[in-house]
Amino acid sequence: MPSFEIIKPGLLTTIQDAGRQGLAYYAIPPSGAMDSNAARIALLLLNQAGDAPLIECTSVAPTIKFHDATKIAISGADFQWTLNDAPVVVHTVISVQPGDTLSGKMATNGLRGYLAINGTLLVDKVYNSYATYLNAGIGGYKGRVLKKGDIIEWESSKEEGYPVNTIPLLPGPEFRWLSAAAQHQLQDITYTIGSDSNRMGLRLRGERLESTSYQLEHSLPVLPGFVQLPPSGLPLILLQDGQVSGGYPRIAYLRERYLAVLNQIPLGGEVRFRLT
Amino acid sequence: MTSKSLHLNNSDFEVQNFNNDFLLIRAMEEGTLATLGKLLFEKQFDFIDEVIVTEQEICLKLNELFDDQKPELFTKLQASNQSVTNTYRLPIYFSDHDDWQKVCANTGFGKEEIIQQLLDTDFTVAMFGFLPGFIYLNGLPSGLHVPRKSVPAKYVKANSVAIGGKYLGLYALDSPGGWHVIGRVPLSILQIPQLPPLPLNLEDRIQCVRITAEEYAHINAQQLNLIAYNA
Repeated sequence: MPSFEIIKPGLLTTIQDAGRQGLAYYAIPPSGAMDSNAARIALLLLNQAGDAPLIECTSVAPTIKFHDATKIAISGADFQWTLNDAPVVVHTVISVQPGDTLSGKMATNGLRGYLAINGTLLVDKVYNSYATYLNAGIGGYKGRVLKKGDIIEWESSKEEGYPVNTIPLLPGPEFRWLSAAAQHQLQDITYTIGSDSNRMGLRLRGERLESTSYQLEHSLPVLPGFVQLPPSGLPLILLQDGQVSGGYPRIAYLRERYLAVLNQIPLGGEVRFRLT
Repeated sequence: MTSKSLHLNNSDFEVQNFNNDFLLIRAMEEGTLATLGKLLFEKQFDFIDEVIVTEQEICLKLNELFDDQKPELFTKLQASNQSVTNTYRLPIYFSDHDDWQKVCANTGFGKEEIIQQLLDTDFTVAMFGFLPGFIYLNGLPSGLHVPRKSVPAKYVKANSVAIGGKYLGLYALDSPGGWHVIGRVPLSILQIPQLPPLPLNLEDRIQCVRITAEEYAHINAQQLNLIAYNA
């Protein structure tokens, strides 16, 4: 498993997440990120789920050595962060290489900062939350603050290793209408985003996909992210202003978080798909 | 994708779960889906973000509050009284749109024959969908069914009447569209920002009425809505 190591712990560095809700009845406080907006920003930059675990730093930054390559995002108070002594900018995605050391100083312009990693930190989930609750010694890394020498592992996200413009797809209601060849082809074709795309839908240019039929007998429901296959054999992807029903086979769909990635690819840009 | 059956309101439904992202519900018997769709929409379950009801399928967009046990809640839904259905006349100017060629070639009928068949048909509002105000009408004689276009047209004018598969449809907004346009209506169906955004109910009856280009211009100038025209 890839990992990083705490070289210096900082003042109060813990693993947090969105917190454990709904347990006040049992006198269990929510814990979680002290600045939930900043935490969410770091996670969003890496397209991570809102309830994923991340590191919270307080007042004095930790020094962290990465044993493996990954991407990170830092948010919140300004700790004058550096990566191998070169200044790094907060609120951007930063690539780190094995052996890179991230360090910082006193927090200025705020008190708390967040460090998210492109992967799932392998830390303790208690009562459905990764948040460290120090008084009870639960959650996060052994229920305590991070100390010198702690090694925290993470599991790389499945997206790791794929080029940016490879979008994960899931089989849609009419996926099986595609020929066996087309089911594979869908992942092999490099599509170009048609210049006639708009906020309603995205028209793809590329090789034609073979399907047993290109017409549904009835108009059926569709959602943003659904991939339709009209008789041209060139997929259409419905976007935020898309219709709610349609008559073309719904061969696949992509989740909202990947719709965000797709929607940033310029017209004429290339995109590939991967079935998950 | 997982699938299970559900029994409610004395009817059987099949529920397909796509990775907890959305559910598709199909009815085993005709005509029971719209009622269920209305109940699901009006109940406003916290684990459902969107309800889309079509004739053959309901789609429920789910959020993180959903779990496998939730569909059991659907069995507790109680149907309320049916609403009344109205009949409306829909004035159509059967224009010389290019799509007529495809409609005639596909059906084997001439334009006049097709128009007469449409005027002789009692249409029923089958569903709402596509874009705001779009109406799907049931009743199109099977001889007039025409497959949707291979490549959808980029622009269909608002208030166009079109044939798509087994439906007659009315576009309420300018939009792209894959159906074959055969005429235009001089009325606006939409009543935005009211909800629902159009005055029709499911099962309402629609009678097509043929109008000339002059009548089209005359009615259009009055800026009537469907209710006022039928008053």
